[in-house]
Amino acid sequence: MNEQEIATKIQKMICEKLGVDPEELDNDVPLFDDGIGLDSIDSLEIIAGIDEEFGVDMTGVGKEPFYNVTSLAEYVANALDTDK
Amino acid sequence: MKVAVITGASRGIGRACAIRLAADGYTVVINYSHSEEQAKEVLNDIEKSGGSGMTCRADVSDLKAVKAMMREVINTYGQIDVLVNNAGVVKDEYLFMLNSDTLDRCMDINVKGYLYCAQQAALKMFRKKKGVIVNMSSVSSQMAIAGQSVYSATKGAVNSMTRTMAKELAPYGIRVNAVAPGFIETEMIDSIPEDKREEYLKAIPLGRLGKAEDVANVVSMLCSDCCAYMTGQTLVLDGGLSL
Repeated sequence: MNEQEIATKIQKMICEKLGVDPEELDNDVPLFDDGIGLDSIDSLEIIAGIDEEFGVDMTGVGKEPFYNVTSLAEYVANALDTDK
Repeated sequence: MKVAVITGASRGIGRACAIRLAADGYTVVINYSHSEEQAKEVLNDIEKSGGSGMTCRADVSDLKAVKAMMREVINTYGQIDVLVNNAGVVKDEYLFMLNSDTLDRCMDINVKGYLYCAQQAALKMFRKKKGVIVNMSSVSSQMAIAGQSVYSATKGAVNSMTRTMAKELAPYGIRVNAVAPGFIETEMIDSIPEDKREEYLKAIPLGRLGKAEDVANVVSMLCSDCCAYMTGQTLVLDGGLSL
């Protein structure tokens, strides 16, 4: 699975789990604060969703990978590469 | 099928909880750190009674080991419905005798271990938006017992984290409660000198030490739908000792 395919799955997961309009969720739009306005509680859903979808644990990794869909996909792709 | 992970389940209260939850119909994961043989004996006892489960070695104070254990449970059973955070250590030392090794070990297992296991189990419970976490506290968290400043501090932390976790996880259908046993007949209490035991026994209004099964019964109740509306609470189970 390449980074773009991972990003597409993450985008779909965020829209489904957090009720975000797909039209609003560009891969590079910030997820929190001034972006689409998710909050830290929403990050729990993202962590759980990524754990379930990819088997990648993002607990305790800090805020940086959660900046946008692209940064999440990059983190997941690296973690999957490391597992190989 | 429902799956319960019980930490420190090779003996004492953890063992009783594993046996009771298996009798309740849970598939149980018997976590242990060193006592492999005892853990296997617990599983054998459960299987003889028609229950099922697995043993799983993990030092709960090691986050990597906890992650690996929860991953193994998911790979084997696909879900985690209950976590009983039970693995713990008691190292009684008067304040002036306290050393940093004791402090670190108690904090690592009794506090960090609970947080690591709760974090990783809750992450898996999120999938079904349902789950129960029971943290093993102690009457020492509410009642001053000389020589237990470190242990009582760690158990006070358990009560506090129970309340906070409960609030954080309630929107996701995950309940978190704690049980605070008093003097229970386990190996842990064997370390108390005989004269002290007699003294404590006299102070227990119900006139006896508790049994591990007494605690397991309450854990079973907290895991059941009987307590579906209860979260963030610490139930004291001490025969009236703290009254």
